[in-house]
Amino acid sequence: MKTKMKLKSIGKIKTLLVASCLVSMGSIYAQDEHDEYKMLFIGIDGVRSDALKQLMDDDLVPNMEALFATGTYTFDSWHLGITSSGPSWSDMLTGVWENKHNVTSNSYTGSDYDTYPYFPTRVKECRPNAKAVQVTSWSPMSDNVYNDGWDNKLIPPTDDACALAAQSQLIDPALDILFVHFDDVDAAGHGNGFNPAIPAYMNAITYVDTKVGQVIDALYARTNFANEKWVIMLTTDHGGTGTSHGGNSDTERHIWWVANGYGIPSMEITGADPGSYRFGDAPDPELIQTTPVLTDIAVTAIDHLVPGTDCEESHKADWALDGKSWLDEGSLYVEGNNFDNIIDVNIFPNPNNGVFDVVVNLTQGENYQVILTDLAGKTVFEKELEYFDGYSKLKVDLQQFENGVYLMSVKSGDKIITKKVVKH
Amino acid sequence: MQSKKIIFVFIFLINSLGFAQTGTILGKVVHDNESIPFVLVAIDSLDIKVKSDLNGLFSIENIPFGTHQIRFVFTGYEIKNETVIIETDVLRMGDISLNMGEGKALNSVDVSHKLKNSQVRGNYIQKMENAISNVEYVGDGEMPAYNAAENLQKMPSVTIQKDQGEGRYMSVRGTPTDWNSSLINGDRLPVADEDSETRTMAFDVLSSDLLDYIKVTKALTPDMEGDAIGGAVDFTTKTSPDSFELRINLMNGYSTQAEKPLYNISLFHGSRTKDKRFGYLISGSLFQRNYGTDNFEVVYGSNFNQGINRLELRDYIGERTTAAGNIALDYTFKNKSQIYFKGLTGYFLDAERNRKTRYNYAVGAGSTVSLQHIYSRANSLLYGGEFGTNLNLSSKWKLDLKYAYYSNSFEYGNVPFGGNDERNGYQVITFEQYNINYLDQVYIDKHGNAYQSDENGNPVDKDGTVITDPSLELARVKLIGPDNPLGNGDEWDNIQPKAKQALVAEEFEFSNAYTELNTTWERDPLIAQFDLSYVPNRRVNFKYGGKVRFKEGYRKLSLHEWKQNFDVFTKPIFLTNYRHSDLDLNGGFLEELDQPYEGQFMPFLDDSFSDGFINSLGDTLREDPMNPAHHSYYEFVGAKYSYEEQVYASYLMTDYSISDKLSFIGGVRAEYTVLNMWADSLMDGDDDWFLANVYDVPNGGYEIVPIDDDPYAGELEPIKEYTVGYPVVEVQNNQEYLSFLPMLHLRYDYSNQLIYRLGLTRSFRRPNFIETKPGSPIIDFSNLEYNQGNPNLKPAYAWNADFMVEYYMPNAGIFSAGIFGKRIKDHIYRTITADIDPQTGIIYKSYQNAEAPIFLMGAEVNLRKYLDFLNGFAKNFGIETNVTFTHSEMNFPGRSFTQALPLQPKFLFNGTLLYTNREKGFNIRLAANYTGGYLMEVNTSAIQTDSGELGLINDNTEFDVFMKDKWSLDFSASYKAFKFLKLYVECTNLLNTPLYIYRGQEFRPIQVEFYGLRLNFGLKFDL
Repeated sequence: MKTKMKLKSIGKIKTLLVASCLVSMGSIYAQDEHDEYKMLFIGIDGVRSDALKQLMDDDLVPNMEALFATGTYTFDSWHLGITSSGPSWSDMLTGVWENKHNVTSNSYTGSDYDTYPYFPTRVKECRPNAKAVQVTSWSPMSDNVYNDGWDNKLIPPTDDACALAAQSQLIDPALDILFVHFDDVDAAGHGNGFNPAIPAYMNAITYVDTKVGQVIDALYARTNFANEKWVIMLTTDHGGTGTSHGGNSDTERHIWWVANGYGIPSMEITGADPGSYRFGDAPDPELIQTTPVLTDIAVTAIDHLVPGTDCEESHKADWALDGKSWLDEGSLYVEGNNFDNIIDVNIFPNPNNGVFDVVVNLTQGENYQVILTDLAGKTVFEKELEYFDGYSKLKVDLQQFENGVYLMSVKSGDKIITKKVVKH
Repeated sequence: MQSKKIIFVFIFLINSLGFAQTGTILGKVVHDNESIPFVLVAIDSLDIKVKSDLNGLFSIENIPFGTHQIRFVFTGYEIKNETVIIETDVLRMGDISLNMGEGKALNSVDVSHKLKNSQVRGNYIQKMENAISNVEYVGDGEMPAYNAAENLQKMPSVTIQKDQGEGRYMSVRGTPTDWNSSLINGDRLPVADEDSETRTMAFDVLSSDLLDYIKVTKALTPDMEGDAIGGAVDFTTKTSPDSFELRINLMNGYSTQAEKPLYNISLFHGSRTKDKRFGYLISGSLFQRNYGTDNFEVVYGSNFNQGINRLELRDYIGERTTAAGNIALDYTFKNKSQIYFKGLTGYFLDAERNRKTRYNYAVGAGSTVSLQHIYSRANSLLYGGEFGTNLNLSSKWKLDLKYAYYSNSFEYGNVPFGGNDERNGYQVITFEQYNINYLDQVYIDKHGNAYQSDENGNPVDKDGTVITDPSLELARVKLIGPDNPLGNGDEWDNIQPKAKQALVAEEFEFSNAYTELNTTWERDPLIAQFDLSYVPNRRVNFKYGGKVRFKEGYRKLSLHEWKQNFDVFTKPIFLTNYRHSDLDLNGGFLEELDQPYEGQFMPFLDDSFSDGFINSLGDTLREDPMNPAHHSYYEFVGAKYSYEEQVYASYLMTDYSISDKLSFIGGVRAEYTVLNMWADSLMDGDDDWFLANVYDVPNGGYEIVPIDDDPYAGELEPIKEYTVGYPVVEVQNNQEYLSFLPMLHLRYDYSNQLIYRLGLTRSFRRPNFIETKPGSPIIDFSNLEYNQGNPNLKPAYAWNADFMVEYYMPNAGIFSAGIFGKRIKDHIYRTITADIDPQTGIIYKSYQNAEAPIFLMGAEVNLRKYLDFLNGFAKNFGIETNVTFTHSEMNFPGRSFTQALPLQPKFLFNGTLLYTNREKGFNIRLAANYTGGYLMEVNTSAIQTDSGELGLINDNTEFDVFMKDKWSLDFSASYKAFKFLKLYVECTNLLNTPLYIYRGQEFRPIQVEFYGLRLNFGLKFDL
């Protein structure tokens, strides 16, 4: 049982504020170059993409929706390894896959964090005085991990307590990196089923959204917030199916993330499935370079926190990081998608041999225009669809065209979305 | 009280002085040194008729001096006439020996005859009783003395719930065990066992060596404890013999199932002084046996579908020891008044090893296979006794006074640390292989279409194309039988997990270890009782009595955990690095199902190594004791409680023979109950919690202090910081209620053989302590269950109507038939919900009173007949059989239909074929038993509906839990080779029908357990 708590007591926060201020006034913290660059990383365990989309459509998760609306986001982040929490968070926090960090299960045994540490450890190589804190109710991620760079690891027993602990940490002016992990959605999935059709699971996501809101409000309320360069990253570690995860199905592997804050444009990133290390074949090396994947998180974080330093440069060669930074210029972004006018379009399979299906997640039919162009901008396919809805499927055949990346735009009125399609 | 005493003394004096020219005759009716109760003792010339009591004793007072002829009459025995001359105040006739019928004087005593005699005795007690009941003598054990429940099983209309093949709880007419009371010498004993969910004593601890006879009452009389809706079983312990006796029994047998020997040693010694006034007995017994059980269990994961979360294969091997002791003293005064003391003790040790293989389709760590090493030494100790006196105040007034004390306690023994280490408990050590990719699951889309898994575990359509359409909202589940829409679901008896990767012993790594801690005790420090009886003439008996019982109890569950210490060692701790071997399956696992898992078992740690595993790993493991820093600390808040209960009861009744044919018992009993329970409650309201630090304060214990008011900040290092504190407050539940129980019994003796009986009685059931416990729920850690008490629960009251016809035949033959009905108000039932809190998948159980009265109706037929009217070979045969049919109905709130009452089987059958050859010393018994299937638990999971109200998820029985019907057949035989030596063979559970619990329909097993055939044979020495 995890006891549910709701935050109503404002008085409680005030006393916390006082307490924390007293603590921080006692020590004048040391300063590094770039110490105005800061990161809040919020992880929610086990949130399926389709569940989150559905709740955003119904405006039931306003806090997360706000991050999507003005940030860079993707629903095409692919999991290339074991879809369990231990390996997944290790992928994201180290920036390398499980063949390097060696965490293959929630037991965390066999790990090699000495060679492949958590990103705060790396950040501290350039910002030795950076302060990093982790908050999670899932104790193995605290007890079984080392060389992680956290100055403090808090294990409050519930999501509610995690939110509150995070709030109290955000008061600290010296704080540079905060990782907050919420576990109860995963618990609801295991208990009832990971599925948009199961109310208990959906309720858990709407509830955790209030916790996200609480933490973000505390961030915006920082005394010196205007002078700090914060990036918020929000993601999940895996999806789920039935009452479990850990497998290779798309509902477990195909996930999402969103970034918002200093220097982050408003746009959507799409990408095709590079494959998984679990299938026996190695993932497609080209697609790994263009598709969002889990290991990108740590690299993007390092990029933001130590801009223009040796640390930013050394991740490929010295640290052997697998991920890529989405702050790098020149990546194959798809710009221009506007979250407010989003159309929920899915392409599958992707990558494909040129034959693929397009479905739109809508209950009421609308008229659509579908245009496919190659990277040079040449239109290779165009179709008008009348009363296209969630039960309709558009089959597209590009077999006579060359292999490569195509951009598919779906328009309806003033709404438009562009997605990448990869033909092998 | 003072004035009453004086009156009694006064009456006594008048009686002694007023009729100086009369005398009293005292005596005892016996056969083969065993007393015979209810023998008619008549002096026809004076029109005096009395009956011998349960111990065969009788007394006739106020007999004028002179010569009289006394007649002793008891069906099945020869009528005996004795002439006495009364010249003194008291004439002691000593033992009056009756002979068996047909003019045969018995010149030798053999055990088979004794057994028969016991049944005769039982039959006649039953016949003489005015209430509806059955009586059975335990007699001298032919077979090893398992526990009292084994004897009980032979009785009509009694069913036994078993644990590891041995009886644990009983019920009359199949009614829920909670409706029945088990009494020792008329007192309900305190209950303390592993689960302690009931007020009904587990028979594990009660050895049949302690017992003299058992009486089953179906309709209560006012002088009995009234909390028994279903019925009461009273066990009378042995009393002192009439002459010097010393018996030593040694029994040595062999159990084929466990492939281990078994022992039974018992000692009995008793004697009586020459003047017969003082008698004593002391007896003791020790019984040791082994068992082995194969079991598989299935855990279903959701209230929304029938997907399987886990398949668990359990291999049990265990050793049970029962030790019992008994002491009795009695002294008879001149006027036949008596004082006595009876004491008993029972000790039960169950040393159980359980090796579990768990296929986890869905756990927090993804899909895994885990191996659990479980070892526990569960032991119970019961002791207590009673001290009392039966005073003959005058020829008309009798007063019985009694004081009793009983104590019962349960604990886990010295595993794994030995001695009294407080971390000892139910030890579980788990090794796990992670990242199992099960391929035997199907994917169901939102339209209900099903897809199978390919070799990577991905959903594929019929053509083998991988389904990637995200809008289908696929759910991956393991479905069996017809639940599987692809039509290839596993059958219940062959559920096969299929993993992509091979299970490899070398891949199993240590996952965690823990001990479950359990301290449970209950005692009745004061049971005081008086029964005053007034017999103004021989037709009427008035009884007035009272009883006070104080009860107190305590229960605490806790947990001690060990985890891998990553500060010391980050590599996996592999099972195969330690002494391990293949699982000893005792010749096979689930042989009954053709060994579906043959060759699939992984090795386990050797017993000797797993026992010391935690110690041997030293600081590679990190201890996580139960204190406020433990992650489950607040989940255990409700797992401790204590209680005190006082019952004040009083009754008034009369037993009146209106004519020789018609008699009745009428009366009323009142019981006033005062219950106080104390438990802890977690204050987890919106504003109750606070951010906290936890300290282990030197000399101050663990303290949880708010972060913003931390007195230890900067002084002590917190053992945990930024945790959440909740206020934990002690809450109390106080209940007081008066139970008013009128009772009426009519008996009509149509003839000597044919008796009609009618009973109309009111009885009740006190809620179990776990059911009214206040505060937070009790956690069942291993089963992930919470038990939420309901302090507002009311006792259930029943009106019971019983009608019986009994036809008695010579030599203990009886045919009886009857119907019964019960109307129960505030019936207490258990609810199960899994999803009240959307954050968890844990099962919550709670208790409710039924809103509407429930009705239960039934009919029963019993027959016991020995074919002694036949000649030759056939005359040695006998039949004992009974059938009970019950219909019940109940509507669960939210359900659109009615269902049978949970735990009430519709149909019960017992049938025993006996062969007894006294001359040759043969005794053979073949017993069949059938218990119909029944509903165990109703799934009342509810969810918020669109209208905002709570609605049941399942308005059908597909998610309810049922027990399947069960046949069993036992065979036993003994042969008396010499006077001191008997050979016996016992073959129980011949059909080996499994205990089978299922969800909704039989193809969905929850628990299937085979105990195997138990073949014991051995020698019994009577020294």
